[in-house]
Amino acid sequence: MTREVVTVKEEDTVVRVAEVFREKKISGAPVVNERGEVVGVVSEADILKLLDNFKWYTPFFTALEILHLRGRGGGGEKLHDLQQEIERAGETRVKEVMSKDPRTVSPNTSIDDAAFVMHYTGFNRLPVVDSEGTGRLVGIVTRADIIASLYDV
Amino acid sequence: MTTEVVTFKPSDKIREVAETLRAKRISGAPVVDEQGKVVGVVSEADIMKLNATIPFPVVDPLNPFGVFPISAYFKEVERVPEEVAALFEGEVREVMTRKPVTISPDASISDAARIMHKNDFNRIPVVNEVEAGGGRRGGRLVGIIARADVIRVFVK
Repeated sequence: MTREVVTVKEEDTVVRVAEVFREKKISGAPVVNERGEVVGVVSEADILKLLDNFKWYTPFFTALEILHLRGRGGGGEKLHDLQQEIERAGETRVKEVMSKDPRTVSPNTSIDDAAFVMHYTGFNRLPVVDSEGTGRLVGIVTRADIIASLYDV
Repeated sequence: MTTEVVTFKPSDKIREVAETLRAKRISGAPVVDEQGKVVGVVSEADIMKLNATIPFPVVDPLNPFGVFPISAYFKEVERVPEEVAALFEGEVREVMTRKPVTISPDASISDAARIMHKNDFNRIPVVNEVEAGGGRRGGRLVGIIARADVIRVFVK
């Protein structure tokens, strides 16, 4: 497992989380409270769900243009409305989009058991919490970690 | 979309694919043939499914996702690590998703987001049309669009 875990807080905005994900090159993170306890997990998939609700103006935007959306001068009113919607959605708090009942494991959990949990729950990352009962985050194990352990005997 | 795409060949070993995915910090990639045509997509999820082909130990039905599953007490049904490792000597063509969903470079970002959300895909290969009628099966890979690209709209 990795002990240095990137975490976010419930009150963080989606914009902040997107920035953190981009900067750290990760696709998800545990959400912790002031006591360091894991209260949820937020991932790219959770943020993506927000975009699914948009009234996109499909004739105007292509897959190639998305990276230049903010820099574009053209588009007029429709682009402006879209940017407003994005900005509003970006203010959504983590607690509104995160998975609230995250699966966790303990430092003593075996590789096979962690793999089982990932396979059957579909979660790609499992926060590792203190098994002494405090529920505090001590690390994280990802699918990549599990896979590496399986073939590296 | 990203145009410098990590790709694999159908004959690549699963072990090497797993190592490359981990090294590049990506969770999946297209599999292309010698002409650069997309013949499949392989992801960590596919590799996890492979892992599940060797049965997991019996799970306590009262505590299916518990921190200490019953497997801890039933040593005789433990998985053999060498058998699991041997699964990785196969070729990626055995685990990849064939005929993957692809998208045109002219598609809208909302199409990409919807496809990803509905199918729970992390990435969609972007391919050029190969048929006059607009079909893209077996099209040539021009790039890839991933969830990170889509949620980049939020990053100022």
